[in-house]
Amino acid sequence: MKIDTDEITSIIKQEVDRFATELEITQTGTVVEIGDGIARIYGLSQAMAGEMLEFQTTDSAQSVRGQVMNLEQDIVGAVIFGDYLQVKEGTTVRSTGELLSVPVGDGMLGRVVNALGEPIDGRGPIQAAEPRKVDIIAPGIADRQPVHQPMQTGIAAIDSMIPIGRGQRELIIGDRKTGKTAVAVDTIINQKKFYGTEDEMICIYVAVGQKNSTVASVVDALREHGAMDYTIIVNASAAESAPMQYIAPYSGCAMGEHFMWQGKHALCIYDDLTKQATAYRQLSLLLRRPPGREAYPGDVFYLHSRLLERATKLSDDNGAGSLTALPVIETQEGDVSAYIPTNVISITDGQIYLEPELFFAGVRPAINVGLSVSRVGGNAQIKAMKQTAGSLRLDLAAFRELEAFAQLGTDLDKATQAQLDRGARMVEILKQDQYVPMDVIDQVILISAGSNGILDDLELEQVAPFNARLIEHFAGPAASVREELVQQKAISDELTGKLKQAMAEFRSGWTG
Amino acid sequence: MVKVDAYVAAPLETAVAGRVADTLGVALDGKTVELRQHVDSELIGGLKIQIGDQLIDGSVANQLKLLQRNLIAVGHERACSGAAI
Repeated sequence: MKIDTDEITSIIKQEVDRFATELEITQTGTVVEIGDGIARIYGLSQAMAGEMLEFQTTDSAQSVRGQVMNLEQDIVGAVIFGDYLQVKEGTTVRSTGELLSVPVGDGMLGRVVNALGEPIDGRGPIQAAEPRKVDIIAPGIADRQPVHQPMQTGIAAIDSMIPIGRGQRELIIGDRKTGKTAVAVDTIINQKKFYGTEDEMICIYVAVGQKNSTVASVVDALREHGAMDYTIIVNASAAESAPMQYIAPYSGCAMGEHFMWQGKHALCIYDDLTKQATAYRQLSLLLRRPPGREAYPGDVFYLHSRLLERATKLSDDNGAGSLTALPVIETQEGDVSAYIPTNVISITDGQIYLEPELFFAGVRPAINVGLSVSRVGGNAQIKAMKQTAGSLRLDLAAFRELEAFAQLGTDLDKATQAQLDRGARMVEILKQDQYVPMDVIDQVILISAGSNGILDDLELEQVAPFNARLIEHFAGPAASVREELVQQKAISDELTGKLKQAMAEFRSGWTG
Repeated sequence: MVKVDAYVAAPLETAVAGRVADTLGVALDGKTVELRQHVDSELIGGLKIQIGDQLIDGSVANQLKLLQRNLIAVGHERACSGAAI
């Protein structure tokens, strides 16, 4: 960047000339009680709920921001964002008449910021950012249209049976250490092939209440896979105050909405909302709001519903942008009927349920396909996938039903054994390593190979290498068939024949 | 009767203080104003008046702060719009 001192001097002179003396009339108050990121303020008689406040600290250049939460007689309860240790009893507080906003824009891409949008990655100030209100009401019905475009996660089990559409809210739920974050990170990495195309997805990963080391490794993984070019990380770690953890998902959402209203597609991952609810419970109790079930305040449902309602597919008149939300919830011992999990399950358009039993049995991603659903994503699947996934669901359902019987060790008739074998191979097909998202066409090829019985006589441990080579086969010798599938995005009778033929050819040449 | 706090850099002359009180009285629907002066040299100059929780800040220190903010905002705007700074 060129620095021209003369120009700077002239601008400063110009601004000083133009600067008119004016009286600044503000509402003020005094902090009477302070602690744990919460302040009780006397004065501010005209304060509005949600208004931003400015705490005047000893360091006059840097003021601390806060937000009005409670309006009581004579006293205002406020939360403090940032360094609340600088605020002391007797500190003067000014009202700003504005709502909290964060910087948004292209300059945020590739950056790691805190809940207020301030950079924390040591890469200097953020360029070209404009402010956007953090907590707004979601777009209404007239502004929207139904979800109809696919949001490919690159994970075969999800894209085939639990399809997610752009503008959908799909919950990722499971115990600790079941691969929830892995699903989210793989989804971000899979968006790389759309980067720069019209299907481009801007990803925002909001980390709430996590260890900084965990977030650092996520950032590292994304950077390594070239996914940071289109990703923003919002981090409110466990070390930060409850108000920062509470506001972080809304900040991330505001950053995504900026792209959505530009007609682009955005994906927000809130990892995880359990911790945000805990942070909100903490500040609510400190604000002396009455506790309800599990000591959460009465409006903890609204806390999540107003956030997830902001996931939208905008109408064509509004530029047809979208904001997809993937909230994450951590359960305790698989208890999905706890307060927060049931709330978020009821808000979202479906859930991906991850199970520790499957995870430790080596089925990774550990998705329980029986309990996982997607309520709107079906409309967003490509036709070819819809055609193939139908039989996959049936095969797996039959497999689960028979699996329990098979464990009893009773003799099975031939048909039952065949069903069991088919199911076991389907489960094998859906296993996928981390950081290797799969193209949807490859997913269709593998699943249809499975449901056409190509793998039935293979040993289970042969399935993975066979699949890898099968994909290579369709990229090489049988590329024309794959190309046809890419073009048509559906499987006609003619194409079914070609697919089967190409698979049979490969199968006959496979020696293991 | 309204109690008003006036923060000044140096004590006001009696005549000036009287004028400030009168002007404020008119602005406050003709109420009598009891002006309490506080000397705060950090204000540099000008006058800062506190009526209840309303603060009217006409001090030089505040003017300088506003000017500083304004310059930072202009600089940021220019930097964002890609001007050659």
